[in-house]
Amino acid sequence: MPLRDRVQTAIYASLFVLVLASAALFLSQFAGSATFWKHFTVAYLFLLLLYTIYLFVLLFVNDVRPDSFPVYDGEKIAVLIPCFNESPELLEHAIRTVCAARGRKQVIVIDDGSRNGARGQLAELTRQLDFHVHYFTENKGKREALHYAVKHLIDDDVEFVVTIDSDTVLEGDALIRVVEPLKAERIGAATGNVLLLNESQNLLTRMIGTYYWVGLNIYKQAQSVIRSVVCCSGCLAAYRAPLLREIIDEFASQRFLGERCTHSEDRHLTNLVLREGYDVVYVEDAVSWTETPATVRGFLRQQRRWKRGYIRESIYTLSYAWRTKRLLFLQVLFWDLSAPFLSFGLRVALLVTAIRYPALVFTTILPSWIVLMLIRYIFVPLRAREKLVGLFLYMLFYEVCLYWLNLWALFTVKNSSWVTRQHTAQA
Amino acid sequence: MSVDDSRFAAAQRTAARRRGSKSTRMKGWVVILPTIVVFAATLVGGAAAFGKPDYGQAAKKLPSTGALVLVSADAGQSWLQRLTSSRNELCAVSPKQLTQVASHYEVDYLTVTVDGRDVKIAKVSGPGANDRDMREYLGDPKMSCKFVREGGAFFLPFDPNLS
Repeated sequence: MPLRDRVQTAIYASLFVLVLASAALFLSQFAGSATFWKHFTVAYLFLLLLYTIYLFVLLFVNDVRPDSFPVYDGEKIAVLIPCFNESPELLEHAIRTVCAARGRKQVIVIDDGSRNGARGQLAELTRQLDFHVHYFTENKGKREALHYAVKHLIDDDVEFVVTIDSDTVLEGDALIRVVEPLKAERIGAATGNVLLLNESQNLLTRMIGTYYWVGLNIYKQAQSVIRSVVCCSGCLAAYRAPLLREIIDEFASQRFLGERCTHSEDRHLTNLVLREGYDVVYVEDAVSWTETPATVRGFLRQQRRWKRGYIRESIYTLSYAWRTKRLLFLQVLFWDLSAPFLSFGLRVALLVTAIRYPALVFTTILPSWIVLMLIRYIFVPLRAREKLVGLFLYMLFYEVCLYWLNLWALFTVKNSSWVTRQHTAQA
Repeated sequence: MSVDDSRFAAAQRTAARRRGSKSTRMKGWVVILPTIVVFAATLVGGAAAFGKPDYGQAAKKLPSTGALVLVSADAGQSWLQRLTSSRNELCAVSPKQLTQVASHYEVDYLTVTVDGRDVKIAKVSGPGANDRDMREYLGDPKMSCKFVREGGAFFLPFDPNLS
């Protein structure tokens, strides 16, 4: 087994140890001394505080010294749109907006064996718009679609490659904005802003809108300050073409614990760019629009897949980042990957407290939770007040439901099913 | 606006910069910096108070019988009961009963402040230093006891993983 695989297996196993240790520390207080539990609790508080300050410092730096990039100067951009059983209307919207977007470009749609009649629609569209379509006779997966396009379809003089999802709508200058950072020597990839078309549809979509806002404007923005954005979102991501050509074979053949990987390909591609020592940044002004699942079931399905990818790719990050991205390594090691599992015992303790003293839930826990949350996410009331309701809903939903998906994802991380794709195919 | 309408509208947009001006963003830090200090103080305060028993609250709920003893609440409790209730109880006894307890068990004294006045509590330890055995020893099955709540550190919001 190669060294990287052995390291990843060891890190994966250690996550179970973290969960067990957290549970054991919680139980230790009932088996005699509560000393270990108290020390653990205080240590976790210290980590939480440290991480919060770290995050705020990065955001402060971003406000004081915002990024500025060279201006787009007509470099050729290849835009790849892999699709599988996409709704013909959504696909048409996506292609039309890409074709209409500013920039010198080669637009390529890769139909990954769709069985919903998209082929006819695409053939019709090629007569009206300037783009190329490649058809796979059977479904091979998004990775293979991107791999084939990079290897065989993009022109030799392409300097940047942009990938977008087949249900994404681009704003007019999104393409040129997202590739501009790539003109800087050290930047290997960039990702853009994602807004929701159906945010006002119901309470759930409002909640998800806030989830996107916080994820992009707080976390991704902070990661961008250290030039280590961990995920160039599938909605809108740009890569240097020569770099992509170098890493695409490895990307297509990724395995984790012996299993072939299918989902979370955007995170892995970003990981490979970071591993090569390049920077990855977030561009707030490169805007794409997409739709989010409008039902709890659909959202949970998507989250199941994303959380598995989060664990797998965070483990991958730890296997190389010490050499190329030290700050990212420390952040993933001490917080991003460990906190969800370390906090297992603490969450159980909270549940026990709520059972033990039900009145406390309303007199202390809920009010302090709201106050602390507003402080921790002060950027939401200050910069996106309309998302406050969504913030409350999301935090509540996270504690009640999404957090526990992390544990489920830990146990099923090898599962490679692309749940929403299957669902679309069945539909 | 339907989703189709909003798709059309989105495609027509061209990059109006979304972030506010630098000065607007910097002004925000006038609010942000004090709040992070409050956040830090709350967490540090929570850590400092963590695990400290609140005798005062328990003492206030007990009848005034002359003396208070602190005993373990463990005896006879199932694992689940231990999980969902406190480990210590404060019990109200008479001075005569306190003398009896002191002659039979190991006793240390601690003083706490309740409503501005000092209250002395006898902390009982050793074999049988729990409410069930003590009721039996004192022959007082109706002895009033209250659980002592321990200070908890408050963590939420935990950091949600926004993968």
